[in-house]
Amino acid sequence: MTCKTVQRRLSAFLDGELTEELTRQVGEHVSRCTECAAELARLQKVWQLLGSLPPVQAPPFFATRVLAQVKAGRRNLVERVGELVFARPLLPIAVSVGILAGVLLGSRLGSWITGGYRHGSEALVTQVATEFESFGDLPPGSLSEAYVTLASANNIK
Amino acid sequence: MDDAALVEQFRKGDVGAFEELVRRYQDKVMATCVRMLGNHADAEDAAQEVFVKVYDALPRFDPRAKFSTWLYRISTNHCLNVLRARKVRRFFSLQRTEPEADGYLPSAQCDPGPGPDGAVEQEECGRALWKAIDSLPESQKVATVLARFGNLSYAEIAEVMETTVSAVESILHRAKRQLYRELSDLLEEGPQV
Repeated sequence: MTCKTVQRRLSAFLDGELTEELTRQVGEHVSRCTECAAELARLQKVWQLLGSLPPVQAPPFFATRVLAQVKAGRRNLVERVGELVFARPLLPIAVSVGILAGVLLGSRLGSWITGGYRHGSEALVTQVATEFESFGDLPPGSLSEAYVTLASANNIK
Repeated sequence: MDDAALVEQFRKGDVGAFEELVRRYQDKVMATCVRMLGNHADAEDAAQEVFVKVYDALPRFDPRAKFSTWLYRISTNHCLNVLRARKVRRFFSLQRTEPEADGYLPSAQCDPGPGPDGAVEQEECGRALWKAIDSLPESQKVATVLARFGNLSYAEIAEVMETTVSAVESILHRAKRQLYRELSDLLEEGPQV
């Protein structure tokens, strides 16, 4: 085995992950190769340093807290489903109904106001026309007669 | 009762079976989270979230799969997500503070002796260990944590990471070399790798 092949296998050698035959071959190589032996020592050192850390344990009542969280999560889920099914679709519907009602109301009000104005304006025009008729005795060809004739024609027809 | 039987019991509606699974694996999940995230507070939150995810996903769990492998996959993926979110937060935050690496203290080999200086050095050592592991690319980090702290075999790690045994061998070899480079000062040797 070459040094390159052995060095690629050193990590697995260290972790006891090689087959019996490969373990023997790598072991033999390392025992007579200082470079590969140094590399193995370095990997071993760093692995031992990590391994020297104390074991970790879950805090007391961890499982109880997980179950409480699961139950709370389920409650939240029900609330979320409720929001999705009821609250969320209602909002756009309410906005749409509001806009539609506004448009309908505006339209009704508009036609009512416009209708009233039209009615009122017709009465006013008739009144003005009647008033213009009282100027019938103006001298023919005068500026006053031309004005009254023009104003009566524009307003009435 | 084995894991598969407990999973089956849970699927039939027995919440007690789930509680038993939590008790059985809580230390392992917690250890994975502490070693990946570097401190107990974040790890505890993450471990709880992992089990909540497991609870929600268990009804869809393939009974032919191994529960522990599936659990480790959820745990490591969740921790990677936490780390990514932490990086994003740190990027947008004005404070570029490192997380407290209390999950790496105390260490027998890092212990320089009694006294106030010793405590400081021990803290620095813990931080160095955390930074070394945190500096690894994601796949190397996961493989290292599972191999060193979860005591999983290469075959089990390959299953968790959904890769081959030879890929795990290669990943772990690179991880060890990288860790040595990062920790060479602590190991009282210059970087030679």
